[in-house]
Amino acid sequence: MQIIIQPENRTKNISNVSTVMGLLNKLGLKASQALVIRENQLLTPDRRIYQDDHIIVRLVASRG
Amino acid sequence: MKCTRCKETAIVSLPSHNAGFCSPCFLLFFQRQVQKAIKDKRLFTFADRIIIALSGGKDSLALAWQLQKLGYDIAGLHIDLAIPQSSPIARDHAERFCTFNNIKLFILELDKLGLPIPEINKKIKRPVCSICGKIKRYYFNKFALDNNFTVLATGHNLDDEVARLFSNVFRWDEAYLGDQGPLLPDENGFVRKVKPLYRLSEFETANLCFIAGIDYGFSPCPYSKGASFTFYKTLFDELEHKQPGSKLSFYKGFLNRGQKAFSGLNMNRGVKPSPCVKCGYPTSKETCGVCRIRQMMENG
Repeated sequence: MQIIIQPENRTKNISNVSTVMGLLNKLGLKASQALVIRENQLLTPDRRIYQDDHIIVRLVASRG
Repeated sequence: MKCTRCKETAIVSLPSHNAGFCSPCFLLFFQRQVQKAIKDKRLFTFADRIIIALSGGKDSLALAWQLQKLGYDIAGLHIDLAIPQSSPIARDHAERFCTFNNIKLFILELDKLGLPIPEINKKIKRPVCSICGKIKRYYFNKFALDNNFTVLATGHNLDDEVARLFSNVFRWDEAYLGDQGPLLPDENGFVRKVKPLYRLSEFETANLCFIAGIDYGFSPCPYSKGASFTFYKTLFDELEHKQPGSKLSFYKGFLNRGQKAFSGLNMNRGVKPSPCVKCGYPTSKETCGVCRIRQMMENG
């Protein structure tokens, strides 16, 4: 599935993940470090995601 | 996951509160955390005139949004640091947010005040962050007092406060530990400073902004790379992941059981500030830090 990582707007293709938690693990993120958004809806870590989803992962840490 | 309050599908999971919330219930949760902070620490009342330090980032905008919703008398103050890579973006977000929400916004431009951060950065050998912080604190305080605001509110969140506390403990900095907290009273020429978001994490303010439709600035400061606070936040994220609630517990424990002891040390040892001979700003030296920076800039 195609992931856009904000704020950099980097695009990444990720496969073999079926939940938000799995996606975050693959990206090396904790659940509290990013918002996961699909079709303008926030997703909790237990939600299922699918190969044809377009997902935004928005990192939350301020950097100055 | 179901919302803890109403059993609709949750959109935010908060292990630290052993809860999940749908959109309306999360907004209520956020509001109650801010109200609890204001009430518990007696930060301000509806009679106060509150100036909010608005960087254009998520925390300060979330704070302004929430305090306006609660009916407080607020205005915003944005300081344009004149950093080409980040300042125009930050300023644009602050301006658009205030226009949209009908909040009065004041802007101070460091370029016009003779203190553009990139120029200062060229003249010093150490990281510019501490000087930038000093200049911002100076102008936020001065602006508040000059314009009869009774409270200066900042968007510092739980992660900011925990990283700062850890840094202060790591160095056993008694003076800083004595001063740390969500309320600094108005005294010795300083306006009252408050941090109403101290109970809320960055994750929670980011969720608030998404749900409330607040468009905030992402542009990081080019001078903040490798900042120790960012590293400490990552450490505490790891701890929070393993032990949900540990950040709030660490910080609340300090406020309830530790801060008073360090504050007492400060009262016994601290030097009472006196007015700067050049500008009148309270300082422990003859000339305040900002006047010394200004002198350095004028000397070339």
